[in-house]
Amino acid sequence: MLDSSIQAASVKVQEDNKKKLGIILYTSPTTSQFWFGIEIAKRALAKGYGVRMFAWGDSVYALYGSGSTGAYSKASNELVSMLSSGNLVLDVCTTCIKSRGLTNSNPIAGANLSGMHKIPEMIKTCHKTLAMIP
Amino acid sequence: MPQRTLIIIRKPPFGSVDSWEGLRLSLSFYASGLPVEILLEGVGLFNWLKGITPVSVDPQSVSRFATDIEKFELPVFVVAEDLANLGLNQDDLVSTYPKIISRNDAALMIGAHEMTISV
Repeated sequence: MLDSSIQAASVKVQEDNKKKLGIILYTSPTTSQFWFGIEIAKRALAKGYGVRMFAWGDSVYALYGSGSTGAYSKASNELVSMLSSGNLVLDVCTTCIKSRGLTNSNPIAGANLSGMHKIPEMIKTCHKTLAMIP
Repeated sequence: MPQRTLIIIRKPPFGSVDSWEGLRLSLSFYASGLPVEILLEGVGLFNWLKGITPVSVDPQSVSRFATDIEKFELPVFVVAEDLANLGLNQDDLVSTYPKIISRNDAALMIGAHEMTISV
């Protein structure tokens, strides 16, 4: 019992000490800034870093690529793939979704419909935050 | 790990939602207790201009954010050279709240912040 508690505490300390990268996406999946953010996130995850991502502005279209083709579909697939690693936390601006007339239901399992307050929270908790804004 | 963040508003309050989003973000920083400053750069100063009624061209008016930003005393800066280049002066702004700084000081300000978000 004690051993398992110590093990759980040890895992928590390791998680807390893991380097975390924050990435703010703002532009649509048809822009280079969006894909730079995705590629940086993929490489950080491959190196074992934790990644927090916030989809803001037109980047929320990336969640709605399922069933479409081209950049939007590719963006959705990349996000699903990164979320499956378990090391990506993806928050999405609900106001941005609503203002673009998109459905408020969560189109990608694991993505959190959230608010703008997640950006300052990300800056507080991540070791480095990149804003992928042109 | 709190950082000083500078939000640079480069867009006018019409034609895109970018300045609206940037000003909205600044209030999120305030609500989260993180230090934030706002630099209205170039035509971004139109967000503080008298006589601009973005409601007529864009349903999402920025004026409510400007009111709150002043009420919560978030620092706002306008570049003197931008005012001059646009044929404007401080009297053309909705208030005397934004501090007028030189372009050189704006550059120094950008360098002094750990995080810059430019919209």
